[in-house]
Amino acid sequence: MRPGTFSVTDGLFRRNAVLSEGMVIAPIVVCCDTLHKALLLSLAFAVITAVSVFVGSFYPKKLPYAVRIMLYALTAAVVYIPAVLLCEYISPETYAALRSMQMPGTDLPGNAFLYLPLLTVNSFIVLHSELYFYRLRRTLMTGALLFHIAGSCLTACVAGCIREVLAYGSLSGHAVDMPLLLRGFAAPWGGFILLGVLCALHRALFAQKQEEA
Amino acid sequence: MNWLLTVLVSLLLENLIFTQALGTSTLMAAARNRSRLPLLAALMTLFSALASMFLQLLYFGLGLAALPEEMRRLVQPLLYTAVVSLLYGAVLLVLYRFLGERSAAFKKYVHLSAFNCAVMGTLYLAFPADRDDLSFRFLGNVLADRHTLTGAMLFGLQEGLGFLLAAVLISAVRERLYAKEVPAAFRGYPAAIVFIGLLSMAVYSIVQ
Repeated sequence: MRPGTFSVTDGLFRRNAVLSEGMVIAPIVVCCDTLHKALLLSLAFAVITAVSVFVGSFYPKKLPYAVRIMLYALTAAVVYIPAVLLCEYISPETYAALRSMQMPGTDLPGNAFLYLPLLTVNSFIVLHSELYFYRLRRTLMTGALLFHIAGSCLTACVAGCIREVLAYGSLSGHAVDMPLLLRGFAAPWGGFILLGVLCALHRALFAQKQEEA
Repeated sequence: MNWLLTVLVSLLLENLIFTQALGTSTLMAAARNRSRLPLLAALMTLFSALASMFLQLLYFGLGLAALPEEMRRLVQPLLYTAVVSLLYGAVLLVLYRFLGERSAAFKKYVHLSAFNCAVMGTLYLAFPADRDDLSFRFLGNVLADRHTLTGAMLFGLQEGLGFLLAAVLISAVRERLYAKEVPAAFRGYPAAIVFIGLLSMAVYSIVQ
């Protein structure tokens, strides 16, 4: 994220944090194997990140850098409490599915739920808040932050849709007529490979647009 | 010989990057500069091990394991972030004490290695909210008694060293992932993600 060539809407597509910057990869790779889970994760991510980064922008710059970073992380951990309660209230079934101990697409015991609290230390909050967002005026920062969050959530939902169709033959719980189910796409390795392909598509698309311009 | 095999197996099968995708963003950032990888991995290992030990003491010292599951689930991030923050501050102070002004050069590595999904994920895996028992898997269970400080330290070491192994594997092929032979759209970051996916598939095929 370079503040030099700036457009508020960059984060939505052109500089999508997941596809071009490699941020917030783990929750998408592991948890977003269905659209419902992707939506719930996106909701938690949006609430935790938006509130934490916005509140963090009010912390005095006079504080040492290390103290500010600790405060950002602690703020996110506090915001996590209402965020996770909101998720449980909005979609108790999906929340319960996330709490299951199974790693998606595998027979292994795992803890897929840990990706929700891990959102409190996502790169937006502990790294790019200082490197990018807080270098902007607050109105611009708010706009840029919301577009970056929307871009990441959009990527999570697209990945969730594709994986659900390919791995389970359904979309948002409704059966889709698929000749073949590719169960591996529900597993973490399937998430990695799909994300790599999406990154390449994103790059190809925007390289073509740049050439046309 | 047995313990060596245990170490090797645990570094692969319990690897946070390949099995849980934890710390992938940090790995991608770190792999851009091969020279700083060992320092970053060493700091992450230090944070994982120290934080696990610290939490082990807190769990039994303050009786956190006795809290209701829902309460633990909600306050976990706050507690774990506070522990990592304390350690982060302590490491910075120690560096300043011994290196003086030169410690400024290490600040960003300390920062990157403290607040990331790999270190925090280690804590969530070792001290899960939905179980009363601790879960120092592999090294922490095989080479030490469960629920001991040594077990916590070994578990933290295992996860930190697992990150180092993943980082070495990625940086070893980095030049090929950025080579001209790779299609432009896939060159670099997308190819690296696909490569991690293939390694993850290989690791999972062993585990299953």
